[in-house]
Amino acid sequence: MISEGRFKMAVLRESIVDHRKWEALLMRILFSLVVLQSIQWGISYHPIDTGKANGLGKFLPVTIDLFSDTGLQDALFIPLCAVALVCYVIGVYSHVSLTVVGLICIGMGTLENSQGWIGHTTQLVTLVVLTQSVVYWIRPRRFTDGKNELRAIHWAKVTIASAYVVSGLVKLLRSDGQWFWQSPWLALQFVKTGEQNFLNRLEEPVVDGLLEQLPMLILEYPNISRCIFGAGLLIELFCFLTLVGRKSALGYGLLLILFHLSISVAMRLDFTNHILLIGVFVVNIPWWLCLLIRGKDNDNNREAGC
Amino acid sequence: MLRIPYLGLVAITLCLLAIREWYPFSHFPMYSRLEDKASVVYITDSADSYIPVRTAFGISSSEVKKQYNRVRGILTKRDGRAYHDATEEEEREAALAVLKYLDGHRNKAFWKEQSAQQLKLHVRVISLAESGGIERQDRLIAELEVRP
Repeated sequence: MISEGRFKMAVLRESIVDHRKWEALLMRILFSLVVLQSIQWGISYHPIDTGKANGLGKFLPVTIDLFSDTGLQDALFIPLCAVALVCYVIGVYSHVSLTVVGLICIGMGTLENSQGWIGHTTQLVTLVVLTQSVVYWIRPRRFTDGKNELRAIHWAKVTIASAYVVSGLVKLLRSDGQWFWQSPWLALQFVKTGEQNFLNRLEEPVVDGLLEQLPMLILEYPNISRCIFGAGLLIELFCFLTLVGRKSALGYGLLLILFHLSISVAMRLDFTNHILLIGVFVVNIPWWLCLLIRGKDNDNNREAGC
Repeated sequence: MLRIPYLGLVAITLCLLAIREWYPFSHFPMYSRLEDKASVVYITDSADSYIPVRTAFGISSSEVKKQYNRVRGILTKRDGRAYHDATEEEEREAALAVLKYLDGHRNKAFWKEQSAQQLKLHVRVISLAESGGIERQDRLIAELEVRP
């Protein structure tokens, strides 16, 4: 007999969801589209400080030479990436095809991050590509089987969750545990990003409506702000709960999307890639749409795997 | 055998922490250490009117600031200082490097209808006022004569 305490622990235990074949296929198709749209094609190398490449470019300058050639991007890397993603979708040599995609993501990301400024909009997409590549390489197959697909999907979710947990931990570590207490200072960051957005095109007013009042409200009510920002920090730190099962993934995934959307509105930052990744792997939109449309207890749904 | 819950998550988390959250090998700890001030870098013309950096040079305001910080970092790194400890002369040198970069990356479509004899780089520090509000202090760092 299971005791109450052990039962509670079991409820929070990590589980590998038994996704159906059609679900896994849809995830691969959608993830491929996310990867394709996330890569910043068409950029060349115009650094402010030549010879100070970042990342892989620091150790292998040839990375920059290869990927900064826009002709080569059009003629080789875009078609190669598309073909590799098609192979990944249909499950042919997934280990090789996804490694090729990973190398292209790293190459283009290195180029983008070597121009004199760095960004991280594609970081999570690349991490998921790399993790799934490793999963496929552990059991390399000409045609991937269902178990391998389930492992790859699960590790994609583990990677996404880890990235959020790290983001939360880094806030605590780098601020010597003061992040929660200092969080009302985010008001200054809100003002900063608002002004930076204005300075890009001079189209929007520096601040408008609620956004105009938001930084002052944060400073006027620091404890309420601490609770709100602290909740955001907890969302990041407890992101491992997305790995418990379908329902927790749905609930927590929607919470993460809401979290990103609220930051996007308040700070006008772009989290498209993160939201799409969460939609594909964590929320798993196709599954829940299928359930919603066809009804939970329909016999046909059981046959279809819904 | 000891079973570690969420072993994969723990492993990846430790791995990402160890490599300092680098994009495969580049670092970005966003909003992890908050300060009681923030800053914005902006560009104006000789009449001190704002120049929209995205439209005029194809890069964003935050990227201009990152460029400025990067060059400051390169200059201060020579004797082991952090970029925010740059001297006024180093700040000016970094700002001139950024202005020269921008001048060399003008968006032709924008500059067909606009002209500027000077490009100026300013830093605006946004901080908490003693009264409890937010105050801004602007400082001209460098100006560059350019061909209109």
